[in-house]
Amino acid sequence: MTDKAGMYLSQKEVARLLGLPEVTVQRWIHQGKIPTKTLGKKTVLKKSEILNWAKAHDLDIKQNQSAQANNPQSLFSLTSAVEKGGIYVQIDAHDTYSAFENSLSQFSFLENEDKKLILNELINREELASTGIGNGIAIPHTRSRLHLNLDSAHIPVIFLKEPIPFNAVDKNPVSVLFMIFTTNVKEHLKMLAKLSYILQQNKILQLLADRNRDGNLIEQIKVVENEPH
Amino acid sequence: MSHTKMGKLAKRWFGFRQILINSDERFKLGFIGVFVGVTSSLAAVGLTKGLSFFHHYFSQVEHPVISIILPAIGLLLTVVLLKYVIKDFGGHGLPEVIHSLSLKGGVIKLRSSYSKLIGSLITISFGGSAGPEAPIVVSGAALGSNVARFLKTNEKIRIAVAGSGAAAAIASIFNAPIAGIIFTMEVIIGEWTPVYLLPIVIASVTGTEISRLLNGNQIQFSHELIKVNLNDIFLSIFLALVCAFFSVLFIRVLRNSSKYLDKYLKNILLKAFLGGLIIGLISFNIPYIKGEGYKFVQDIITGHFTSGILFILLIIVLKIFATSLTLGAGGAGGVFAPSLVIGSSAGLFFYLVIRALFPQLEMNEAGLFALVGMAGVLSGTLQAPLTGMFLIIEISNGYDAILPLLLVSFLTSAIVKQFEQHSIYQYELIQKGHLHRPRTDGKILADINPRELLENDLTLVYPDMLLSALIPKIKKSNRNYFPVVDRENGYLLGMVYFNDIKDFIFDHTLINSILIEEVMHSDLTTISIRDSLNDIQKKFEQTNSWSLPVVENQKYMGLISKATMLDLYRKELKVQTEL
Repeated sequence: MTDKAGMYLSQKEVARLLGLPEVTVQRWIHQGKIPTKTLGKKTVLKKSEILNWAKAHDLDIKQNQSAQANNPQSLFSLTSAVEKGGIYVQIDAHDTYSAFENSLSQFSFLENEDKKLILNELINREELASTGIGNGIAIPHTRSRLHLNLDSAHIPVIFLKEPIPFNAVDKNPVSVLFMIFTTNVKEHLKMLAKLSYILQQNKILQLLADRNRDGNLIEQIKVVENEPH
Repeated sequence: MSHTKMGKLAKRWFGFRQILINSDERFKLGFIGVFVGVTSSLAAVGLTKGLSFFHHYFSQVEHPVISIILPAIGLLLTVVLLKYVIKDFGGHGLPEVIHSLSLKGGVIKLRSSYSKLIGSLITISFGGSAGPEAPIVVSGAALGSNVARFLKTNEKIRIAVAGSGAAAAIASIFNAPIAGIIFTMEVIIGEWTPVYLLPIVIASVTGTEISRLLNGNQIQFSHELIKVNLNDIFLSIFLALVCAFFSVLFIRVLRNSSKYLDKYLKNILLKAFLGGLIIGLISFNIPYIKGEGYKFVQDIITGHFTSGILFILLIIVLKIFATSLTLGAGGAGGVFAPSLVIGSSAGLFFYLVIRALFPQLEMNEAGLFALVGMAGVLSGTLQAPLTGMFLIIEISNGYDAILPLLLVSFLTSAIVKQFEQHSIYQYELIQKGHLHRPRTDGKILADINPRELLENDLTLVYPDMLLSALIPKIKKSNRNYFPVVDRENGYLLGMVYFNDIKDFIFDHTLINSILIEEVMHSDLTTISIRDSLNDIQKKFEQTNSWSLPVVENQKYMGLISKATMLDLYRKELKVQTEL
């Protein structure tokens, strides 16, 4: 039915072009609502004719048929966000301010001139509502997404030398920070969903409580992230 | 004393009005049909009498400079009068009538009932090339529309009555009641519905009778047809090609002339004067292109005008050019009569060519081909094959030529449609997105006001709320999206979609550490309450979403969803369908 020159379209292709089910296109062909050509014994749909017809009837044509479809899960990988952010251990801090300041100074993925602004935004956010989620873990982030020069999400994990008071939900002091930097809301939502999931897994919680520092954390996150749930 | 008398009279008058307002719908339609038929026929007779009076007067002018400059003065006067005195616009005015009937419920300004009439009287009688039909149709429709408003009818009747005015106009100009009816249904209203038909037929017949009373029962272009033979029918097929060619040429030149004139001559007075001057120069040498051209058409049909092949070709081209210039430069008038001139000339041209090629061929006189050519070009330029056909049948006083007329009208309009999708009248409206035929998608979408679709029963949330505070709202709400608004000014900041947060909102790990604003989408496509439904539909398709928020001055107003739209769309379609 299809040909090399792309002059003719199959019913399926027309359906995709118009964003309609194939059965609708079939019905239209039967009812004579869509222009067809007869080639020998076959009924075919000529591309130029279909396009003109769609335009005359003010029907939307989906040009990039498959552009949006390939949005694989791997684009939003928590493992790679943590990898990109890095794991930082033995960070000195006695309160949130120093914890953030000292962590930020370690990050090479941020521009130095941005760090002052980020620090302010992180502190402001804490004042509004604590990001301490309990179990000695906090997820500091800014209220709005800042224009940082990042290609995708970065989630550095910071192990503090000593737990610090954080006004967390369970009132316990915090010793692990998952700092969230994302580039768009879709990514942010995905990261939150994944963080929420892994931070309920005992394996991960134990690793964090043990303050395991040998990079095993990333391995474990990868395992948990990829196991079906 | 006279005061009380006046009072009594007024009371009686308004009592009469009240009786009419309260009367049965059919009676009302009948009464208005007769009234509109009489008034628009008077307008038609008045304009044609005025034209022949001035014709007579100006034809005595012999000084060359004066006759060259007359069209320019006419155009100038028209523009000044329409623009500064009556404050209406030039052109043929028919697109406005079609627009009003299809979209504005048939409301037409009262001043349209005389503005175009006076404008075209000046334009045409001073020598501009245009037709008086469109102005008379506009007058008739405007009169009908205003009578309907006076009697407080509903929209449907008002449209029917405005259409009646148009029908009566054509009927009385050409002494052709059926052509009036068909013109209105085919060109003006665009659908064939019994409701519309009754008053239109009444007005059309009344209009014809009135004009017969005043003008005598004379046929506009009288012609005794000689029996049509097989050769004539066969030749008609080729005549259709000629008609189609000139129709397309006419449509394109007309459209481009106003475009280019507007582009290069900003001053409307200068444009009118220069345009008129060119027309004056042409018509001084070739007077056949002047005015509405009824006399010229009559001469061709009866065989009083004959010429060489090249000269008649020149006349056709110059007529197209002069008409485009007249209307493009701001003259008032229509393309109906010019189409007849071009059509009859095309018929004569065709006849002369065939005669020259096949001198032995047995064929009818030039008059028949002129008549058939008129039907062809009219069908082509107006995209109205039935109007072309029936007009010529009626004015040629017989059904003898029905087969060649049918062939040429049908073929010409079909061929023209391959090159030009829309008629001269429709093109302007299409450009502005104003053409909506009844029961089409565009018409239904245009009828529904976005306010009718506005849903504002949504649960609002604020940006600084914790995610945990959303859980009770989710439980209560029957929606899965939540508009985020500013606490102070009510501005829409974003939308939270349940689908986005369902993975973690019930997990209790993060919900006390996340704010609403951190999970909202803020790059929203929004709808304005003033958007047309067509725009809204486009936005739905572009964003691939099921519902979009409505915002006015940044403030959140509510939401419009595709589902509600479909629901109302179906109901609207049901009530728009005649039973």
